Amino acid sequence: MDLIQGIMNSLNMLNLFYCFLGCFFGTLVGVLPGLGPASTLSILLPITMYLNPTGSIIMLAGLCYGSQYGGSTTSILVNIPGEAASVATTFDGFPMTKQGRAGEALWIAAVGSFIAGTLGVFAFSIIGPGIAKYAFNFGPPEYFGILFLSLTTLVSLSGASIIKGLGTGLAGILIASIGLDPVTGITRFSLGITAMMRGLDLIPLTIGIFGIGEILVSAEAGIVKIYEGKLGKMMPRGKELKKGLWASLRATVLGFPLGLLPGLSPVVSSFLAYDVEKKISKYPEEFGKGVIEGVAAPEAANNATSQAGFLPLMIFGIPTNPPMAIILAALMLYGLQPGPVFFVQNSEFVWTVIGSMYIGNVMLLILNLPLVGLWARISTIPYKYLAPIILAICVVGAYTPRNTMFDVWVALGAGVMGYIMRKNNWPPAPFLVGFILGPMVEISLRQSLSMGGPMIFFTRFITVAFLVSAVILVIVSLKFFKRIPKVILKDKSGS
Amino acid sequence: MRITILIEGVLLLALSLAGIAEGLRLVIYKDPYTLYDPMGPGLYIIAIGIGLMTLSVVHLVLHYRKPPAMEMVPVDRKMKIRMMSTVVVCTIYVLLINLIGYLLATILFFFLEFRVQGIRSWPLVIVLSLVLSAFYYLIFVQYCSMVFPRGIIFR
Repeated sequence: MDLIQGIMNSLNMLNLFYCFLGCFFGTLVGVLPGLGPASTLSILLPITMYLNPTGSIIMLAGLCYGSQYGGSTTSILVNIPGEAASVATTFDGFPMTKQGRAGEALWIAAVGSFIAGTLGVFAFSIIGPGIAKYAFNFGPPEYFGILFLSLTTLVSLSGASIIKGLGTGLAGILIASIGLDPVTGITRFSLGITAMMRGLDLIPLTIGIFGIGEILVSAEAGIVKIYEGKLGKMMPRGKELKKGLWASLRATVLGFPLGLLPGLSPVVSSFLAYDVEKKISKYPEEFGKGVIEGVAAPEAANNATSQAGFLPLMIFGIPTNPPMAIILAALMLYGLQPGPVFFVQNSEFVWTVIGSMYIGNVMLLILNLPLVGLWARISTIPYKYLAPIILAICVVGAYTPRNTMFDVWVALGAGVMGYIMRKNNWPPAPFLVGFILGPMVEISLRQSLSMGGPMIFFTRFITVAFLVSAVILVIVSLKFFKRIPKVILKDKSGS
Repeated sequence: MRITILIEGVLLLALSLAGIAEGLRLVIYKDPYTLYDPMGPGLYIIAIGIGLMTLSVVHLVLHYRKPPAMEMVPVDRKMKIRMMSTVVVCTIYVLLINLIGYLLATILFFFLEFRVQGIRSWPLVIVLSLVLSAFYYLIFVQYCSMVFPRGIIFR
């Protein structure tokens, strides 16, 4: 059984239908802020139990990477990220819309995602097993190194004020520590409240800060229609096209290996890819004002990471992020235990799912390019009708991950906080990055210290390389920010 | 502007002090037999708290004396009331879900929120509220089997 056979299997009418359903719902979920892939996967999981295992996993997989495509649509058109991994797309996507270049932004987001998704699946099928084995050489010190490197994005996401950016980033890290200590299980910041012992979930926070917060800002601004402009020409030309495609390729190369590492979600790789593009650009001061690389890079990275996440899942049974954990749950419900043995004994199933990803990427390009006008029409509905609909979906989306009203309260509180942050130019994006990376940094740091004390970070080559890169990046970023007038940095980081 | 900066600094400082206090509590009451974890659950939070405290002090020192120039966008009072009303309606909605159940609470939410957003036609508001609530209920509760609170009244 190999990839060609897998693709042939997935061209079966029933599998094609399930793939289409997954891609369609994934795109819809991505377009609608408030519902993310993890929430929707958990909603659809009981329904997929009525399907055969192959069809079920194909559909869930389609939903997973479909949502990465769809999330870019509202990020670009209305500055509301459809899901967390599309936050970085808003930085340049929405400014492009304001310049009347929404069509180009949507085009490059779709094509960049297609390139990343297709190349990601290709890489998966060719070099997957080898890379996965190497990834298992990453111990806690190496994870700490790469996470520390990821934290440097706090600097570049800070916008006009690095102090404010670092402040919100550290606040995010602190808020993430609410709940059970990941190593010893002791409760932190629980205040004796049972709900607080479970900690705060990422999804309600993202929905609150970026969904509800944006709606409150829009309500105050008196917006009549979220998106009133025309899409403009769809396909960028000449230099713009070249820049966008190259950015997509670079982001794919960055995003795919990161997706192999458990815990590194598409959110992290999208921010990293944006950061890297800005650093290597000849005109970094233009980022945040509507450059095509600022859209292509995060979209390609999040899709590549999303695709790569299937590799540790299938070969080693390790979910790299919440949507993968739900797919793992689906596999186990069917009595399929992912792992090296599974990869060999159920190769037909595995290669069919991988083959369906090729097909799924083509379907998503069809759904997202010619039909982008259809998705964009959602945004032309007068805001007074759309806002309550989105708010109600946000409530559902916040409730779904853990079936608790506490999360809905968290989303509401985060929404008010997101509104206040935007009004006072405190960037919300570093908060999210800090919230996601904080616990991971803590775990890897404490595990590393228990392995060999502080010196362990200086005795392992990969860790040293990552830490040195992080320090260099911080210095370069600080020097770079000093040269740019503050008025240009304003409103860059999602505030 | 100065008042805003003062509030920002104080809030950040309060957060940092809360972190340091919790970190100290965890350090003081750390299980002495947890030898595998030299750092413990508290030191990390203390470090973050100290970082936050430093940033809040720097923010206050740098910006309180010379507030940075900010472009003040005038806000229509009516729109401000609309935004605050949206928050109030959402709060009522979340409270009512526990009280009267998801379906009834959603009907009421749509009714109030459409009015807040400026839809003046009563028949349109009522029809939209009922249709959308039914749609949400059918999709999420019936079809997707999501378990929302039924409400204290209907238990």
